[in-house]
Amino acid sequence: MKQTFNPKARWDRNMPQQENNPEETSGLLDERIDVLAWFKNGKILPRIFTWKQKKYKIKNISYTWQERRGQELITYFSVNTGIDLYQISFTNISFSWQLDRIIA
Amino acid sequence: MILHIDMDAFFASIEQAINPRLKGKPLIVGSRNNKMYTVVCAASYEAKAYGISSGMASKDAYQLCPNLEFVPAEQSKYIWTSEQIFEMVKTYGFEVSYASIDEFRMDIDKEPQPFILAKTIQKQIEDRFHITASIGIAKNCILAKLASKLKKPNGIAILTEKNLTQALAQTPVQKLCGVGKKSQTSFNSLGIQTCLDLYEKTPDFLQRFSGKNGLNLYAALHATEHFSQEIKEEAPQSIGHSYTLPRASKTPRFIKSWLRLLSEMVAERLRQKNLTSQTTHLWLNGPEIGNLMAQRTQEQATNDGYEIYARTLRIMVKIAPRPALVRALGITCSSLHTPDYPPLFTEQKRREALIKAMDKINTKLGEGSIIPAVITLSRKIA
Repeated sequence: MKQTFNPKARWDRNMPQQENNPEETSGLLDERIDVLAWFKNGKILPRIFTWKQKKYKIKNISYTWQERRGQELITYFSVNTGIDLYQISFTNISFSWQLDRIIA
Repeated sequence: MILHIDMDAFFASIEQAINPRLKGKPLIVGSRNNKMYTVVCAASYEAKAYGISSGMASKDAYQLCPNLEFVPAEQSKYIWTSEQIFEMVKTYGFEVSYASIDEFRMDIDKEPQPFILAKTIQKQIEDRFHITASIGIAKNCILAKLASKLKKPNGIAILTEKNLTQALAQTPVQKLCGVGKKSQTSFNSLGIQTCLDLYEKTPDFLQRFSGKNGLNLYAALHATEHFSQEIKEEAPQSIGHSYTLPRASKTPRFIKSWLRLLSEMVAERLRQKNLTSQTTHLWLNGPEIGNLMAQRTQEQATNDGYEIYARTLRIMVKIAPRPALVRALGITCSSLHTPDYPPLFTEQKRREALIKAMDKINTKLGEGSIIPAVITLSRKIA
């Protein structure tokens, strides 16, 4: 069957990001963090992260997704510490972790 | 038999899975614009209960439900989830295709236990992604899609020869894919109120009513479809893209970068369909200029984004010689042909090689992964 939809169409990458938009920037951090994680059966399971010298124990991972940007494969996790919900990400090329945002 | 999977409030459900605090709350997913000046991309079932639906202005949605939760859309997670579901359903061994980002079709042929298959798929999706899907099964794509809407959310509907008449009689004609408000009014004026009324019409009647489209509709409704037998897709008359800017701008560099982006998007679609275009149409909208539009036909057909952009600029110079506030803009290419001869000149050959290389990268990594640098200006708010 002819494919009518291409999920890889990512023109939205070129759509404007509004720096002053409160919805867009709410909770946005983009800060490097240290993470203790298990790499198990091809899966990455973050357990603890350290942000501003404070340790945050991850109670559960509510969602995981990936995005390819050129050669980089970024794996995103929404993680629950029992108090707050955070979005953290891991980049496979630099092997670095980042705290993207506080979701709630 | 076709099995149609339709994810329930896909974007909103993913956001609720990511943030469990949003579960059970009326929620809309909108574009990256300010939440009061955007369009609803998806609404949770709790928001739908207030009468909120996709395509509605967010301002109107907030009037219906002032406590509405808002999440700006982030395509990467929806695309990833969609791809994962696609890969997952492929493992059942049937031919699968995308109908849209949140809809998948499977040709299940003569599967003896379609209900059990549908139930297993639903469970697998829910276990892995914590979101639900509705499934419709019928003899062809259009009826399977209709069936998927009959027991939403998280339902399964199978249309067989036994229950088809009854199910269609209970379903208003506007539920059928492709029947919008305008078609509904026309159908209603002909006494067609339900899907059954339409289903029972003869091909002659439908042809008299809407020509070739009527015949196609008859064929789609009555076909016993396998993917391989699908009716050949007709070549489009035109291909276009438009965009409403977050706010009106009169900065020439910013507007030009948007025209370049739209030109590239149109050109890429032309190349995907192996078409070239002779006529370029430009549409500009703004508070000072209202709706300005003009088109130009060239002897040389093209599917090169840069050439379409250059033609667009020539049109813009004519219709808007002085900088004016622009709020929305669009480019459409028509007079479409299949390319009939290869490029002759060195420069043309060089451009074609460059475009092919860019297409190869974009096919592998996703459209828009490699773009002309000038487009990056469109990301800045001018």
